[in-house]
Amino acid sequence: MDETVSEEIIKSLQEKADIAISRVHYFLEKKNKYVLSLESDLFQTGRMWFIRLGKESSWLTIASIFDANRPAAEQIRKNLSMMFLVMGFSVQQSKEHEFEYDEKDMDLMRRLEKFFTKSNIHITYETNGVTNISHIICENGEEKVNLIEVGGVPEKSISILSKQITLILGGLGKHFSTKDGTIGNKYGVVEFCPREQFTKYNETDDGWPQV
Amino acid sequence: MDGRKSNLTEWLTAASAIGIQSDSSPLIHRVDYDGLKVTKFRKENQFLCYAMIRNNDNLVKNIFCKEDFFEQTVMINTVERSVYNDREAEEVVKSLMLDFIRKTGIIHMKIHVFKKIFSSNSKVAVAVFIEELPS
Repeated sequence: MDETVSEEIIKSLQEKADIAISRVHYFLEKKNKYVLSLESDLFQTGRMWFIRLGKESSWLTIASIFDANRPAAEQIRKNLSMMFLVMGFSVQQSKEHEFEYDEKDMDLMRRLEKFFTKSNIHITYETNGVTNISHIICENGEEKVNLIEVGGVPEKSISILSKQITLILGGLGKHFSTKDGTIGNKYGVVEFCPREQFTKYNETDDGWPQV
Repeated sequence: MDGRKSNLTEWLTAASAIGIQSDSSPLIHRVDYDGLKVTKFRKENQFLCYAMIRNNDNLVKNIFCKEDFFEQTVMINTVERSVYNDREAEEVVKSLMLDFIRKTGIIHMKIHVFKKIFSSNSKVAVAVFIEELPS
């Protein structure tokens, strides 16, 4: 098997992740106000959603949600707005409208604010197959906080979203990692797919690393 | 799919979708072509077109599995499966787009839609190319 195939895949992943992290990093400034928009796809299928941060005429895509309905996507957007607020960024629903938060939301923001000062934080997710409720969780071994609680979103989409949140938080300079350690700032800078994870593996026929 | 591969694929999807900077224009663009005609695509886009068609059953398989697909000029002659009205054709386009995004995570794209309505039986032949736009 051609080893360059897997090298290319990993290199491509690293490049894409690095670009995503650096763009988030340079886009967000605490002095600015941002709109956190929710948009459907061009065909208005109602199943695909993009969350974008906007300032003036410039927009940055920060999350994509697949196979979910609008209320679920709205819930995710609202929770992301809370995450940004806690991190010190000003976000609104639109130029004219602020997000509305209830007491439960305020409580979550207080918990997140306290939690984000901790170290060794992992972003994980859980999906309950019976209730169809999913959680994206911040945890550090001692404590867990549900950053997002949402129903009706497929596990794969939740898994991808949890990785996007990790990339966003990486872009904000926070010390976050996924539980499998494929992203983190172990070496003082955000590094995606630490090399040592891929030095010893066998490849499958299609060039992907084998477990 | 094994766990590691699945994980890497999801990372690719996650990282492809975020960090796209643009003005307020949509991330997905569409270009319509009247009829099935000769067109040109850049060589670097061929993988995406090919992957998409391969992953979607028999739709327009005859066209894209020809050996000369990898030439720079693609000729659209026949369509293996066609639908019976324009609404159905639009559903085909939508489902192909959704499937493509699910599989690749690419959300910044230009969709080239080729349609031909046959007057003899009102069938609609539809072919779709998806071109990734730079982030």
